[in-house]
Amino acid sequence: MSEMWVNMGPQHPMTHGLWNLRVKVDGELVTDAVPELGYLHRGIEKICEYRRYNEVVTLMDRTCYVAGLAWEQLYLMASEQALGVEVPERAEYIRVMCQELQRLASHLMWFAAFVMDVGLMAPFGYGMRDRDVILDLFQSFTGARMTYEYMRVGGVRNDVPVGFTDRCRKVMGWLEQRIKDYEDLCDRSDIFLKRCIDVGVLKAQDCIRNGITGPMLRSAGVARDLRRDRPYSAYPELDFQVAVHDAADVYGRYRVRMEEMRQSIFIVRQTLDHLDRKPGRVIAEKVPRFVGTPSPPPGQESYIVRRGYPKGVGFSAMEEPHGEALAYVVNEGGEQPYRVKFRSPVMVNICAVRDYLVGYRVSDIPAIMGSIDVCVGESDR
Amino acid sequence: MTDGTEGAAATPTPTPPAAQTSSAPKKEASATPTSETPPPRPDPRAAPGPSPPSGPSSPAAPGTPAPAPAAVKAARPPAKGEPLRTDKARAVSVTSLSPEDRARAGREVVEHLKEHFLAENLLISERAGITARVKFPADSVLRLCTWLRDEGTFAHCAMVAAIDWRDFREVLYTLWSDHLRSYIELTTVVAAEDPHIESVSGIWPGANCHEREAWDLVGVRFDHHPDLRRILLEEGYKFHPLLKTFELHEPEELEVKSRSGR
Repeated sequence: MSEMWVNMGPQHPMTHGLWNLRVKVDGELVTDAVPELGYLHRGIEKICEYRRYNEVVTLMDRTCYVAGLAWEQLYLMASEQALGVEVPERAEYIRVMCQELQRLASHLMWFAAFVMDVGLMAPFGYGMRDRDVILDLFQSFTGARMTYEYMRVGGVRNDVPVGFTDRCRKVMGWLEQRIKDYEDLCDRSDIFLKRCIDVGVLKAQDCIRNGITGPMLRSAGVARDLRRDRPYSAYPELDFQVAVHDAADVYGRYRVRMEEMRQSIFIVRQTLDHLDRKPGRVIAEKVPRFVGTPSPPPGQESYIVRRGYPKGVGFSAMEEPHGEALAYVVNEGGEQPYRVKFRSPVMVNICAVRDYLVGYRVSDIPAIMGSIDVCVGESDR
Repeated sequence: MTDGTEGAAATPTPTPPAAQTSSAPKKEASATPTSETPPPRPDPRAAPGPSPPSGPSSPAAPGTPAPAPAAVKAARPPAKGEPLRTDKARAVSVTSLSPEDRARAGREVVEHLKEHFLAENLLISERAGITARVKFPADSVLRLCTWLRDEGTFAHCAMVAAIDWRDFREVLYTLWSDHLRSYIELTTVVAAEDPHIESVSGIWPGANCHEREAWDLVGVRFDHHPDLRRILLEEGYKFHPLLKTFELHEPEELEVKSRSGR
C-alpha cells in the first residue's frame, strides 16, 4: 500500500492543545512522524526582557497553565540567584507544598485526559473533580484557581490562612483513597490494559539519547528525579522516594505518575507539619526595591535608589510535573532581566516523537501521546 | 564508591565510560528484585474475563510511601516479552555515591578535562550549584562534547541556549551527568555577523530541538544540523525575535504610532 502523510492537528482530540502531528502512514502502520510546534508561541522569553522581576511571575502562570506555580518557582529560583536574594525557610516550605499540590493537580488533569483517550469515560469526571478540590485549596490561599501570581522574589505573597493545614490534610487523606480507587478502576479494565501495555515503548538508552526526562524517563527504569538528585528549596529536608517502573511503555508511565501522586501526598503532609510547627516570615526582608515598583515619572529617575546590586546569572533546575525544567536569568544590573531562557521538558519529549511512534498503529497514537502529558503552553512559550 | 575513586585515581579516565553510565541505573533497578522471586501474578490477557488482576491489592506492591528504604519491596524485574504487569511503580531511594564523593568525582572530571584539552585554553570557573563553567573556543565544540559524553559521563544534553550580547552571541550548553548528579555549563562565543557553530545533535539527538529553537529565536546557525528549520515561528518569518535589535513595543506605543501615521 502506498504511504501518505496525515495531519493530526492542530485541532485534534489527541493533541490536548494546539500543535500538529504529521504522521506518515502505511495503511494503519505509522512509518514516520514529525511534530510541528509554535501554534501557541507568545514570545514569553522576549516579553520577560521588558518586565520587572516580579511582573514576570504573571507570565509564568500563563507559560504552563496546568502547573503555573511550578514555573513561578522555577523562574524565581533563578532570578533570586541572579539578584542574590535569600528566601526564608517558611516560604520554602510553602513553595514546596505548592509544588506538590500542583503536581497532584497536573497529574490528575493528565489522568482525566489520558484515561479518556484510551477509552474509559467515567474517570474523566473523577480526575477533573479531584483536581477541582485541589484548585479550591489554591484558591483559599492564592485567591486564584489557575493564574495564581502567588510567588514573589524573596518568598511568597502571603502566608496560608488559619485552618488551611487541617483542611489540606483532610483533602490529602481523601485523595489518597481516591487514587487507589482509580488504579483499581484502570487495572480492572481490559480495554485500558490492552491499549497501554507494550505500546509506545522507549527504552532507557533512547530516552537519555533524546534528552527525555520526567515520568517518561522514570518509566524506563532510570531513577532520575531532580528533587532528589539535585535538591532545591526545602526538598533536602523532606523524605520521599522516586517512582520508577521498568516497562518503558504507556502502562509504565501511568504507573509512575500514580506512584508520584502518592509520594506528593506524602510530601505535602510533611510540609504541613512543618508549617504548623514553625511560624515565620514568608518573604525576605531585603529585596531590591525595583523588582516590583513601577517606573518613576520622567525626570525623577533618582526616586529609585540603586544600591549597587551585583550583576549575575541565575540558573535553576526543577522537576516539574512534566520533567526537567531549567531556567536561566541573566541580570545585567537593570530593572528587567537581560535575558530569560527556559527549558521546556514537553518540547523535548514531543520532538522525539519519531522514536516512540514509528512501528505502532494509528489507533495507538492517542494512547501514546496521552501518556506523554503534553502541555503546549509550556512547549511553545 | 571506593572503586569509583580508586579507578579515577589510577587511570587517566576519571569515570566509567558512557556505556557503563547508561547501564548504572539498570543495575540499581535490578539489584533488589533478583534476590527473591515473587509469586507469579495472574495474567488477564491469558484469561480475559471479569476477574481482575490482583495487582493493586498485591502484598508485594510498594504503594505505601514508607520512609525506610528497607521496607520497600521492589517489584518483579520485567521479563522480555512479558505481556502484562500489574506491579506498581517502584519507589527508589538508593544513592550510589555520597555527595562528597560526587563532588570529588566532579572535580576529577574537570581536572581531566583541563589536561585533555590543554591546547584549547579552556577557561574553567566555579559556579554555585553546578560542577563547573567551561568557556571554550567555538571550533572545538565537537571534540569537547564527545569527550564529555563518553569520558565525562555527561550523557544528557539538557539545554542549548543562545544569548545575544549585541557585540557577539553566546552559545550555552547545559549537560547533566547521572553519575555526578550535577550539571556542567559549556559556553562559547560566536561572532555577531554570520553567527554559526557546529551542531551537537549528532552527539545528542536530543539537542536537535534546542538548536532549532536557538536558530529560530536568536539566529545562531548550527552547521551540519539534520533539519535546521524554525521550530516556534513560521517558515519565512524574517526576524529572530530574541535579538536585542528586535524591538518590542508596548501596546500604547503602537497606538500612538498608528495615530500619528494616520
